[in-house]
Amino acid sequence: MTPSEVKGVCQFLIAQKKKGQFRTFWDGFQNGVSLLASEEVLVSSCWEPVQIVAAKKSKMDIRYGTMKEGHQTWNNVFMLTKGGMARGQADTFYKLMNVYLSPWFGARTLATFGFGPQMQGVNDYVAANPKDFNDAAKATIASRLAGKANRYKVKGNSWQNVFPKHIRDYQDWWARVQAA
Amino acid sequence: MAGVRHRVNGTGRSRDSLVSAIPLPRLRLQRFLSRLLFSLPVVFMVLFFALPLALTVVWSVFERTMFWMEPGFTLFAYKNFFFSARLENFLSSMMHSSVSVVVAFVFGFPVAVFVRRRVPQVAQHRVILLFILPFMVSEIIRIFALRPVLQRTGLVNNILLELGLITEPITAILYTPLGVIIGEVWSFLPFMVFAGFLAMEAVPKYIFEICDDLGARPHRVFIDIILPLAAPGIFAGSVFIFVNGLGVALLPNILGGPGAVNAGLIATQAIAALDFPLAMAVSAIMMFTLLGLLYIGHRLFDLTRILAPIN
Repeated sequence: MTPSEVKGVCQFLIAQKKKGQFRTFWDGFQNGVSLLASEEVLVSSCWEPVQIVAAKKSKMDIRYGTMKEGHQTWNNVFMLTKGGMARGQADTFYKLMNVYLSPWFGARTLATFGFGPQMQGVNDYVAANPKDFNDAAKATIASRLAGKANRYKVKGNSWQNVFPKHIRDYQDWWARVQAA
Repeated sequence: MAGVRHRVNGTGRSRDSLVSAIPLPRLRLQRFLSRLLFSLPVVFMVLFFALPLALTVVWSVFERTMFWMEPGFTLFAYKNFFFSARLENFLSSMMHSSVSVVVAFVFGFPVAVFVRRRVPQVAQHRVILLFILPFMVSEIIRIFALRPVLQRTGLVNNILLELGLITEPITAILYTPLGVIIGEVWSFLPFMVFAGFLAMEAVPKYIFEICDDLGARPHRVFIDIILPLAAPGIFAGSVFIFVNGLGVALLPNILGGPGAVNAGLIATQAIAALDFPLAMAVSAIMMFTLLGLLYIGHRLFDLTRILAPIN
């Protein structure tokens, strides 16, 4: 985000906070699950696995939805550091990344935690390896993939914020949101 | 072998000559070791207090880079702290912490006085030991466990609803500054009990008898006798709670409202943003706040008096 965009978002957040729209902010997986499962918050901007675990834990109908303004995207960033490069870890790094980004990993995380580091080829992979997944797992993968595909029909609403250039603006404006 | 012969030869001699009979190198070693023993606390304080504090200050003026920092001199981190909303956050967390200190005093100190005055001497330390038990449970679990107690559908609200005392759940006791204060008191009350217990050592029992004989009312005894005598201990306990309230990032993180922070969380979030100089500056400011408090406390109450009863 540009500094003026950061400012705009934070001013919006401050206005909403003053109206009492926020019960609390969460960080950490367990923290997010606990807020949803205890009905302390009714709506939460969270990772999909948070919703999945909260629904399972509370046995309530908690769903992961999409705003009409656009679905929320999350970034998953892998980095090979200079130090890792210098120690000759590059090959190992790429080996591991190939596992992370393979349908093998995507299918398994989708069947369990529900988040998809990458989902390309997952359907084909599951079809090609039917013995690795039982019926329940297959159904879960199919329904979660369908849900994701459905959500992605609404255009994404995230800014390019993987490597923010104006990190100081983020920090300072965030402090103002906290103080408001 | 030489040493042994000297000692055998020296059995009839005076003590001075016996000492001189110990060969010089061994004597030197003994002296060196005993000096080393006395300097251990100094070494400890340098290694675990002075050095980290100095590094904190040094790093706080370094230049920020993308992932770490590089040597340099800039006061930007301090400027960034004092001329942003962070100062406001810091001051409000100081206020919440002060309230916690007062509440902890109101609940904790009477316990200490009670244990000192009413519990038999032999059992006193065991009773105080009971207050250590909560520390056997990890802090994060203790704090997180307050959620199911205080939340909208929690224990407190359910009981009050069942009793018909309220018709709607109370939401002011969690995810609010009040929630943080409850958490602080909950976590740090034992410190006030310990410090108060130690402080009450400075109040001899006969004083209470004299007060009784002279017909002093309880509140006068408390204000005129107990408080002044126990002040150093109470102050020590208060500082402990105050500083923990400022520094333990878990409390506002788990129990606080939207964006609740204390100094510890400001520093933690600065680290999350890879802003190490700022995190160091916040830590340094916290340390100097603490040192300032201790200095004021020492000037007012002479903190060495806390340990006086032990002598």
